Amino acid sequence: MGKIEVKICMGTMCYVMGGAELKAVVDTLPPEIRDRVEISYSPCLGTCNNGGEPPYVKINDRLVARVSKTSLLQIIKEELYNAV
Amino acid sequence: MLYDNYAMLTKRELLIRIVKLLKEGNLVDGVKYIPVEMRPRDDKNISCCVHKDRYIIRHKIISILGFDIKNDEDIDLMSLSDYAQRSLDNKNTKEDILSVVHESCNACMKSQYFITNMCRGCEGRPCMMNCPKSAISFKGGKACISQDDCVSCGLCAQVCPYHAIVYTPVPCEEACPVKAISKQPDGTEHIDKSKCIYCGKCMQACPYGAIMERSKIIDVHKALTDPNKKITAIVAPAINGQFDATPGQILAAIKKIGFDDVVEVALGAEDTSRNEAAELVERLESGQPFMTTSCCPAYVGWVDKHAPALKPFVSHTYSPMVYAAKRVKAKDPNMEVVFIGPCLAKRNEADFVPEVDYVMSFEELGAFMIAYDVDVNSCGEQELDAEVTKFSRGYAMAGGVRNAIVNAVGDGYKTMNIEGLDKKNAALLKAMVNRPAAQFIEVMACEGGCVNGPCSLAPLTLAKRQMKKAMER
Ligand code: FES
Repeated sequence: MGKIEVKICMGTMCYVMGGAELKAVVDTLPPEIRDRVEISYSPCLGTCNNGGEPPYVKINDRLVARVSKTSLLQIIKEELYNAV
Repeated sequence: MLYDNYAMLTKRELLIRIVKLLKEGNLVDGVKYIPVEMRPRDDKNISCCVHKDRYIIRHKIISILGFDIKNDEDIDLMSLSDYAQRSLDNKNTKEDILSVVHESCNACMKSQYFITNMCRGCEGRPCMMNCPKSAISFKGGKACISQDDCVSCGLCAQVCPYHAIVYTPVPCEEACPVKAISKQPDGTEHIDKSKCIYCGKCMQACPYGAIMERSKIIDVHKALTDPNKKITAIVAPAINGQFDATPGQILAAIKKIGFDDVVEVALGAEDTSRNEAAELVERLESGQPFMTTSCCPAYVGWVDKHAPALKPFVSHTYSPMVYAAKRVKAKDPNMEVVFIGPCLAKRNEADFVPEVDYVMSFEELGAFMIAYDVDVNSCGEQELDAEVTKFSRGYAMAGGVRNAIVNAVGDGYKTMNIEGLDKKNAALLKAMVNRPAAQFIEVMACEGGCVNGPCSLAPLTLAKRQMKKAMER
């Protein structure tokens, strides 16, 4: 089973607009999920130009806006569910 | 602590938009579009309608521009563009460090115990039987609390077998450690300046973001761009918890915004440690039983206003901010100095320090970094001042000042640290006057220390982790 890729934007815009919270998310992942995701942090994904809806996260190349700690977990779960 | 909430993000978005407009030189015209852009006509109103949402945004903008939001008439008569122009013309003379946006306040019920419709009107009626003030009666088969008689002891809620009684708090009042904020007859909150210690707890607690701090971003931006002015940023040690970067990278990033120089406040902490250690030894030798720190301005304010008996025991040594600013001004008296930190109370402290011209928060710094397209990890490294030790950067964390002092005087003294000014700690501190529990007491008003200040960007767990990492590098 392939891992899903979670790329959390750590560009200044995303970081200030709630992305700092997302960084703490890794700690809260249940182990069965932790093993199936590849989390990485990325410099500005280039999507925030005119404000947009940061913070952004890329899940397997799908861009998601306005992510929060809880919604990130939800999105990861959905993606895992769809992957099987 | 209320993290991950949209009211906080609204404030940050406002700051970002305003600094961007400043940078483009388009504040006066551009500012008027902000309420419409941030609160478009869709079905996502926060309050009753889009107009009120926009009206609230408008008030928050006026506050950020540096004006009082109390004078309701003016606020309705003047356009945002006029306010922006006046702000650029140095007429933004707001004095209050904290003010309440009345338009977005007043949504809270007076704090009370409240019977929900989960009440089944049971035969046992323990709520009624146990109420010490006979404040509970039954009407139509449901319990009902007479708010005139209720003393909020909470017994009824404890004994109700159906958990039908809830307590509805007023978040800001609940958060304030010194009862400085309370309701006026019209339902809105009022901050009593004679009691407020500027800890910032109410501002963080309000789910409407209705409490705004005084901002100097307009003035700082003017100093940054005025060719006849020079400005140095002095940055609190807590900055090292805010980003995942080395201290050198962070300083370089701040410099890239356009400051003439960036200096670590930790450099001033070297002076504080040295002088405070000497002061401690001297005071103990002269027979004083203990001394507390003086670097946390919320704590010093608390002593002034709420625990005057402690005053003789508070150190007279200046805070690291003051020493850092003095060093900058000593080198170049024409240099303007902006302190950048996680702290609200520093805004008050700085009002009495001639060497500090402006105070800016980490949130505001974030807005500048975004507007100026600065990324902490890609600006290179600024060379660090060799005089700064890890003890000085450690000032940002609870226990850090204590470590620095122990490092200076040796561990032959009994020391302790207190973080947070909740009821328990307040009582503990007041008791020290008669029964000192240690010879040196570090006090910080924020739990966890400055890394958990009310104007920070990173949540505490992350800030602590990043702080530790930065200190090891
Ligand atoms: S900072 Fe995240 S997309 Fe630019």
